[in-house]
Amino acid sequence: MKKDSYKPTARKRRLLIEQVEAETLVYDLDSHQAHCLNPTVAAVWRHCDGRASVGALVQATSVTLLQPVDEAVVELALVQLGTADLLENPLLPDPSATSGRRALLKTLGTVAASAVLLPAVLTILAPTAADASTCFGVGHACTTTFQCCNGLVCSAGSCIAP
Amino acid sequence: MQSVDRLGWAAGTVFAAYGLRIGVRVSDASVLEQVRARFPYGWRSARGPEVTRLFSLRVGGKVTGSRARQFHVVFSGFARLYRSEDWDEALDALESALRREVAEHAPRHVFLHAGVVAFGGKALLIPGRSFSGKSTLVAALVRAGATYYSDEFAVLGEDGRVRPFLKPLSLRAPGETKQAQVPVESLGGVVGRTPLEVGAVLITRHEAGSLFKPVRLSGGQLALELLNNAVAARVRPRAVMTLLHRVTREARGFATPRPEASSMVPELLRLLESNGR
Repeated sequence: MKKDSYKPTARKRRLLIEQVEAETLVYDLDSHQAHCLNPTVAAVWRHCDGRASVGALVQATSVTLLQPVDEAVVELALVQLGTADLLENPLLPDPSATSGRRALLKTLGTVAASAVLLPAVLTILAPTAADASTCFGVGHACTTTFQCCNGLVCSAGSCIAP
Repeated sequence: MQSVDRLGWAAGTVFAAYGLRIGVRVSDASVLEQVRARFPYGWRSARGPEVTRLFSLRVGGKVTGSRARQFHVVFSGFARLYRSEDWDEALDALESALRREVAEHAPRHVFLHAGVVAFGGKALLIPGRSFSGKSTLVAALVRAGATYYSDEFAVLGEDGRVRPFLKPLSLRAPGETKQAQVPVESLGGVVGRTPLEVGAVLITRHEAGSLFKPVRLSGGQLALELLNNAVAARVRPRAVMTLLHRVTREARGFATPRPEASSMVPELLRLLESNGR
């Protein structure tokens, strides 16, 4: 997909969304992943309506965050949103480009980067009930499989992967 | 009739806990009192046969007139959960399964795997899985004067307040894997009875030689950490998300590596007294 014509659409299906101050918490009912979008990514995601180009997203995000946002910031946010499966039409990262937060810091320079929060998406895999209960991890001494965490078995006195 | 029902059951009981009605039947009536002693905190007897889940314990042991031995077997519904020749292990398995059932399916409460103490009229939550050292830290805080609520679950009601889940503390001696059950009174502690607002959440894990260096978490980071320890995260994500959001509006979240509990407690108490600023 050409970047000039790329108009990302935020995924809304099968998601639970909570606004936590300036951050956005998203629970994916399909993958059971939970994401915390920092204010920059959250602002970009909010404007992904399938009609706005990357350029338009830069403008809209700048207005939302009340400070100028570089196009590279929006592109990194879109890559992160795609990786988290929060876009209907994800932007695939260009393998030839030096993307990522570290490269972005170099691109923007320290002064510009400090003006706006760099995009960040924290992701966890929600635990199963067994995971979230008291259990022994790999290598821990055990007497029964019931004591070991989900997916492990008690063998020769230790919790191990089967 | 399912095959489990045909095994022959001698006695049974129904108890209520956190909005659930759980039935337990046994193949030998003489063990029913031992089984009752393993019911989760907050249970009370219930009348009537209706249950949300039925557990069964078939008592094994030596077969009369034979050298053979039968396993003790624990069932949840019609599924075999566990079998063992060791009676105490079978009871442990049943106890664990009952506790997990309540924590996962309680309709109006959210259970977080966390230690809880009260300090200054508000609750401090210390989420964490096994071996994160939360029982040790809870014990150290109780010795320092905090009120004990739980070393296993933070039980949140729909109002966002945390309820006590009182049980003896499960403490491991250094180098030991077997936990000892230690009554809070033996630590000189007192137990809390009233629901409390969550004032602070501490994300920590023991790291030998580390220093207490708390970093303030954002509301989103805190919600994610709490979700990561929610027993019903996958079963009732909507209710869990809504409630955790509510908690993060009131509570301050911190993350830090944890040195030895006894050396960290004075600094932690100072942090809580300073209102986290």
